[in-house]
Amino acid sequence: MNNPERLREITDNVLYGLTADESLKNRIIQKASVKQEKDSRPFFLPVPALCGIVALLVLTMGVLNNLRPVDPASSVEMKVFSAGSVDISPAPDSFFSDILPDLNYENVLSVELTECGVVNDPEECAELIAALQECETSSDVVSEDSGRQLIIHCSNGTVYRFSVNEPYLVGDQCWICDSFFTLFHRFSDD
Amino acid sequence: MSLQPEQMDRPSGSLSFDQMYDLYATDVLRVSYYYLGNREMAEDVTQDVFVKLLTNQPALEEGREKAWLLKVALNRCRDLWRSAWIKKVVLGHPGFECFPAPDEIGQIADQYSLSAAVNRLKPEFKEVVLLFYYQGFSVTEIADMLQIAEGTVSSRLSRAREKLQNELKGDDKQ
Repeated sequence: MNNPERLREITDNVLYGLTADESLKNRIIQKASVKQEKDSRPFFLPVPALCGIVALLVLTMGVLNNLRPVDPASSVEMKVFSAGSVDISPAPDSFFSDILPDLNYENVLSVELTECGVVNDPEECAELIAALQECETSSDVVSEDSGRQLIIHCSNGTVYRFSVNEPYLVGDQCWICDSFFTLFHRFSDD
Repeated sequence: MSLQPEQMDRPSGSLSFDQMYDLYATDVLRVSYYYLGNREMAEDVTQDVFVKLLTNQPALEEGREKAWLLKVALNRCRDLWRSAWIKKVVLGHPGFECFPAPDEIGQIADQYSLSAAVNRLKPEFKEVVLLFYYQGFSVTEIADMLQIAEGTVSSRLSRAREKLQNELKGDDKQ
């Protein structure tokens, strides 16, 4: 009876009552309509908001100018730009979420991989951050810097920048993030 | 604004949305359920897959519609599986439920053990088992869908069979 060859037949019995019905279909059509409406909405920034963004940019640039700039050719350390620089020296065998627990799904506006693309969709950004938080440190030695960066813009004005050498994020520790990069390429290809 | 009738008629290829939903939505739902072990999340995945079909309008080759739907569903399941939330909520409370026909309730006990064992496999094994044994795809088709080598599919199938056999032997002893 328990032969995998019979999985189709067995599933038809065991999951007989689990079917995609009309109510699910209606939910799908409704959600697709809402998504299309949202996607087709013209880009519009109210003037006050625009002024706020300009002011924020000016302030942020002021902070960034006081920081050591990223030199892609020599950078083998991970840098975080926010209201100040943060030194990150994680313990070996740690998860990415251990070093940046505040980087959460809600406040990410966009995730950019230089020379590859930008992901702006909130749901996709949330998935990317979830994948990123799962990255683990690796004992692999990644000496060659590709010059590429991962840039994460947050709604509070914080911008995180990381040196990238796929499938690694390169810092004082090296994080292996192949699932994150696979996901990013899928989203940016869609 | 709502979807235009022509978009609903032919989201991709030669099948209409209605036809694709009627033909494949239950398979997408059940594969997702096997993967996640949670009905609500499996429905959400099915919803996401078909919303993507309607809004992205992918150009699908005739006869490849189901492969595309299951590929997107498995990608979504994998993403959910990775998220911290599902590890806490679902892995913390595993439980593969049955939804049998009313007149078969007494006969499914021994069938349940295989289904539950498949649900408990690690994702990389579960994917190939579901696509090969449940959905009837060939090793070549699975390799194409999962973007892995055919040899990898074969070895995962072989190891999955072994794991199922061991686990079911354990169930028999209990």
